[in-house]
Amino acid sequence: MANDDLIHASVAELSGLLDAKKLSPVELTQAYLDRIAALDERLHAFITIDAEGALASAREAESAISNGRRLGPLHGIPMAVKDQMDAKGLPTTAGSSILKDVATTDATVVARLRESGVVLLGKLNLSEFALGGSINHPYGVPRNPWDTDRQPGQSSSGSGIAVAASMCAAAIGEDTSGSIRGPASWCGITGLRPTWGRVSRHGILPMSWSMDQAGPMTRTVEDCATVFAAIAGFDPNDAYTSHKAPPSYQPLESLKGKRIGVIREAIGEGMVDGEVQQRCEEAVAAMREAGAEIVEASIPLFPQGGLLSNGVADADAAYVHRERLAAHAAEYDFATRRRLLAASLMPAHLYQKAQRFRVIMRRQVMAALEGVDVLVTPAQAQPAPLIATDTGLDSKDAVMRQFFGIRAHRGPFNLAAVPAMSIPCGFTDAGLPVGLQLVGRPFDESTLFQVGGAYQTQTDWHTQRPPL
Amino acid sequence: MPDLTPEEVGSMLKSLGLPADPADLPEVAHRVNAVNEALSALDHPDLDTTEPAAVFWLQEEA
Repeated sequence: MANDDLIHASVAELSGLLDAKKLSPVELTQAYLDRIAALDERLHAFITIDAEGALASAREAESAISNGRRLGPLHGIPMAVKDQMDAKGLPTTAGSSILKDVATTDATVVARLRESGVVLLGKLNLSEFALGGSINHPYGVPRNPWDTDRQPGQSSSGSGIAVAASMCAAAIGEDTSGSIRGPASWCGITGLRPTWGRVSRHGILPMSWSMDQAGPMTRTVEDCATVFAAIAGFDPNDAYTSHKAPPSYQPLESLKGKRIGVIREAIGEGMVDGEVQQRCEEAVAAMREAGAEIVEASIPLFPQGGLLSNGVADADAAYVHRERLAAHAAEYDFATRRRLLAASLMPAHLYQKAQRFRVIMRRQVMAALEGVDVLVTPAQAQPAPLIATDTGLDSKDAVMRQFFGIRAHRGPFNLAAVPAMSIPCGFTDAGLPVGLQLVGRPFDESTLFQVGGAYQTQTDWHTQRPPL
Repeated sequence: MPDLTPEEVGSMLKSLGLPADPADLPEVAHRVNAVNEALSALDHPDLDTTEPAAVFWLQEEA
């Protein structure tokens, strides 16, 4: 396989070649390092590139594999992680100019990747402190590979770019209120927010303790399942990790017998862009053709998902940042600073109210999941917008328009702590990717993989590459 | 809830030991007023009998 084909291949394809000793981990790692060198000045996916460390890991992997000691499907696979996660020997910046300390230990998710034999290429760009909405990016403005004048999605922007632009085989993002599913949708890749408690938060800079969750960002659903299996599981360093074992990927040949619920409140005028809705409806039609039964479902509180999710997450983040914000206010991006200052003033009774509504949202999500295998919605309400140079928040109404409506599509599910995955389902007329969000019952990532995997056997949206 | 002015927001931030740059205050006030108004307007018949929670998965784990 030529280098140009190699870098675009799935983890499964690369793993097969490594297994058969038809591909060297060193050769593969160098191909990605060359790709990063060629593109990163334009796209700004990476904050730290660890070429030396990656090549050393690749040589170790090559030696082990040549001696018949391949650890599993990720051994020798080059990946990168969002720079919100500690990786021993590398700085953790969280996308901020304030943090520069070199980590002395690995985050659990990074340690698990290393135990699986992953070659770590480096750390990926993100919006400041993983909040989303930052305007100034000290490590370069992350650009969407499909149109470099547009946003790649926040906050796991670098993870979305790096996978879509084939600068790594797979990446890890982190999703508090949509930060994996959003960039996955706008960059045209697959991104899973696991059930909260599946993946350890240890060594990951927090935003909202009860919603932060790391997950895989990949080119295919099958790869997503493979990376998920490597990083999920109990961790004594995170008291809220589950003992449940992650599922193995069991692909389906068709969707016969599967019931898919379309959430009525997620579509229609005022909730979603017309082209995005059309692509999602076409995806649902394709699932029907593949044998699925399509039914209507309802989450009455759905339109409030952005308000409630941001309300809880921002107040939690304000606590996390209280001392740093007081000491280093001028070093924050102005949009991040204003967001945190506003959240610092949330009245206690409204925070309490948001947490009560969170329970009601959870009940409604669980009720909608009764009798269906998965729910579907657009992953993002609109295609990727142009890169912003200001917040545009010059009135109370502007805040409501920007932050509550368009965030509604992902918020209900991080509030409810259920798994949700964005898969590519087409393009707008302007060539921008559209993502379909699949939502499952708690701990039932397996059904998301089955439905998403079956869809990807029927379609080729996930194989499209940006024009770079 | 009545809208807060930028000056009121600045005083509240100072009382918490947080920075209150005049250039930030109009937008911070818009953000505060939007969240307060939107959350205050939400209602549900079960709201007062629903206890708040942040962690759900233990129910499935049991």
